[in-house]
Amino acid sequence: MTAPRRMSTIIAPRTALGETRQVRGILFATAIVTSLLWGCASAGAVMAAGGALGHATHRPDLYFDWVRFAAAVTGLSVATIRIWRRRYAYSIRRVGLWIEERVPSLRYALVTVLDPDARIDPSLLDRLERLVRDVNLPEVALRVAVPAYVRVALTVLVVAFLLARVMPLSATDTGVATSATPNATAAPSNLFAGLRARIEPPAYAHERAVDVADPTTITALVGSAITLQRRDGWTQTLPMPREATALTLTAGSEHRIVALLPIADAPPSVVLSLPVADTTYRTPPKTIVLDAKATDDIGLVDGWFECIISTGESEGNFKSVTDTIGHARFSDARTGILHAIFSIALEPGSQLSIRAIARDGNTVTGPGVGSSDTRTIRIASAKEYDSLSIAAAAPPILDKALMSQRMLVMQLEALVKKHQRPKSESIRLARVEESLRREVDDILNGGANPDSTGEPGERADVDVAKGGGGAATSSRERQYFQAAYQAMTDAARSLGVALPDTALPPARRALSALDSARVMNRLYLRGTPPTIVVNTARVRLAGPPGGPTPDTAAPAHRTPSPRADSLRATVLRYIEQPTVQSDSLSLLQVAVASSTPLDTALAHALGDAAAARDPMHLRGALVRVRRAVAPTPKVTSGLAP
Amino acid sequence: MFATGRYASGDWDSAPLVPANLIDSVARYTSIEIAPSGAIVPLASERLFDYPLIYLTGHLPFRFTAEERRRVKEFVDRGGMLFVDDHNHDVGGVFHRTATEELTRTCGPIVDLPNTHDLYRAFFVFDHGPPTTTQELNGWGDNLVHANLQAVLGPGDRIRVLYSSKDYSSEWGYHPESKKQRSVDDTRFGVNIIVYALSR
Repeated sequence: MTAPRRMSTIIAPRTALGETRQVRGILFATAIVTSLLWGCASAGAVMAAGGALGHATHRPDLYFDWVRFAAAVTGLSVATIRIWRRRYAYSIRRVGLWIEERVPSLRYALVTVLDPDARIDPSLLDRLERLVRDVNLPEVALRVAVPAYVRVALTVLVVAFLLARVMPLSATDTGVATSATPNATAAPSNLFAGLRARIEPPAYAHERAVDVADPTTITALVGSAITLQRRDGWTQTLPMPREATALTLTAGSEHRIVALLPIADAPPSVVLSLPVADTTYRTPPKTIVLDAKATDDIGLVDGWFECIISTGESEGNFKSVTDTIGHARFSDARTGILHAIFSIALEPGSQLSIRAIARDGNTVTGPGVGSSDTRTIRIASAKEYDSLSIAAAAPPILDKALMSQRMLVMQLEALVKKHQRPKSESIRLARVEESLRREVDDILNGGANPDSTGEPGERADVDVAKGGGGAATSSRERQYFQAAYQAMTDAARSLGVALPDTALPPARRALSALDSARVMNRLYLRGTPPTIVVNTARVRLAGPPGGPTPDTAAPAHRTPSPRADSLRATVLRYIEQPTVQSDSLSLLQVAVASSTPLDTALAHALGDAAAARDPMHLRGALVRVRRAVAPTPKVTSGLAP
Repeated sequence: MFATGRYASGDWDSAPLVPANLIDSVARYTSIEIAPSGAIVPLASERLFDYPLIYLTGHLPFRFTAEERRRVKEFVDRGGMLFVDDHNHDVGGVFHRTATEELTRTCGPIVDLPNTHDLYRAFFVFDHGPPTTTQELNGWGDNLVHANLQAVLGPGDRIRVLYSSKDYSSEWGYHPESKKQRSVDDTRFGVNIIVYALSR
């Protein structure tokens, strides 16, 4: 308190009027500040009390609006009244009297000095001034002002604490925020603020337990033990259900929703590597080697091969026998190899269906059983012609022609490079090309063409109308063979007159066309069913007169709209709301996770949004939700005119 | 367009006359626009999604390839319906055992379809459930008259896969021109299946 006095001494000589003005400034500032703070404290107290009452009695939103209005009126009134009651601080004379009241030793010296109307002797005035200067007037004012500040500050702290207890709940329930952008979701209530979850996977998974702090979404294997624990010691253990579930925790008036998203233990994946493909044997093999590889996300237990032998050729005499071979145990490994040799004698006309099967160690929902694709091994009957027989035979005519054409091109290229080009060599290659051309002709027309033995260049075209007589069945395949045929004709003609340079380009074209035909996909058709065209117009006329017969029923109801689309529309509508709630987002997440087909991206985005605790993260999560809900953009090569 | 599914294993084309017969019945009894001939669609093809109902039948072991399994699962998830009929009419037969296992693996558990299901009132009324077939009455196959069809059901008990052991493939396997020889048209239940697949 001495420093200001020295400062004032330096700046100006101390006078009773000057010090009284300082006191007036202190009192004025204290009156304004403390009055406003008391007003705020009063308003906060009203809001805390009204909010707590409204929350306890589940009042509607309108009630909380009225509470806020009443709080504002109360605060304004308190501040106004307090400022009015301290209006003495505006008058120098009243401040003087206020000081005289608190410092009786002045004996009205101060008010006498301050009285502008008093006619006082200068020597007396000087004595009175000295008497006043002996008292530190600003210190008197501060002795009063400081406790006032302390009182109001403590009151404000208490009210703020009460508001912190009450207002988060009321703000959540009433949705006070109305801004255009989504607001932060509910702050965690105190009871569930420190919620922790411990997830222990089922024993068969051989995995360690995981702790999750403040969970809004728990993702775990089906059957995992989930232990929830609050800070106050409350614990609860429950198993992870098979379907996505919204777990609602309630404590008094507080509640918390946790989305439980189960991970299903996938069944093993099995790939049968031997036999490589479906096969038809002309003669039954003595043994068939079986080989398969199994994988699982958790662990395999065992596996085997299943063989079904079917016999019979017509309805009424179909018979089948099922057997298993090659059992193997995997002792919880994630990968396993199955190997066996099938050695049962198969009869002509029978069919062997083989697949590999593996089983995992799922003791909760399983065991999960996975199986490979089935390979079918047919044994052709004696009277059956089977084009797919792989019994030892000459190479397919197509491959033979292709290789020969490649060889011819190579020999022709060597001939062109030679300085000396013997005419006999060119003639020899012309004969080779001609024989290859005849083979292509066989493929196209089935070898029925009387011209197939003609001289090079005799045919100008292939008889397309004969299509179907050869091995080439599809129109595209025939196009390649026709192109090859024409190119081979040109090459043979040029070679016949000893012009290898001219023969090389068409020979290469022929090779390219044969190569294209060779790599075309082959479709194995069991046969073409008869195509019966129904004359629907005539049939309608043959229907019962007057429409359907009396035993018909009108459709009960229309097709319901697809649930997944409806749910996505609901999500989109909800996130467009100005305020979104964490609990509602969790419920939507569970609904999405339970729908079919499962939209994983949308479920994850909703989980992130439910877990967001501040507006920035919430906004980012909602953007991802919106992108997941939006339909996949249609990609076009350009803009429409 | 009525579509028959072609799968890699077994004999998918064992009942070639059924599609024409059902097309005839749909045209005869309903005003549904229908193509005059059926289509054959590979189950591994994306063309599968062009059809609301796929008819499958056969005698032999029934297995999907991985691609077929993926397509069929997506097909039923997207609202398509499979009608699978055991041409063996034998619950101990290889088609039944393999098909039910494969369909369970691909589409979900198969359950008995109640005879009060909406399917039996979708167009014609069948108060006693699925109509019997001559194969059942003659004691062929498993020598059973099956009281129920089976199905894989979706939300709201909507049929995703309808499975029959009654051998409608044999029952309906005649040329539609022969229908006039019959006192009661036995393909009327096929109309219910098609109307159900299109409207539910």
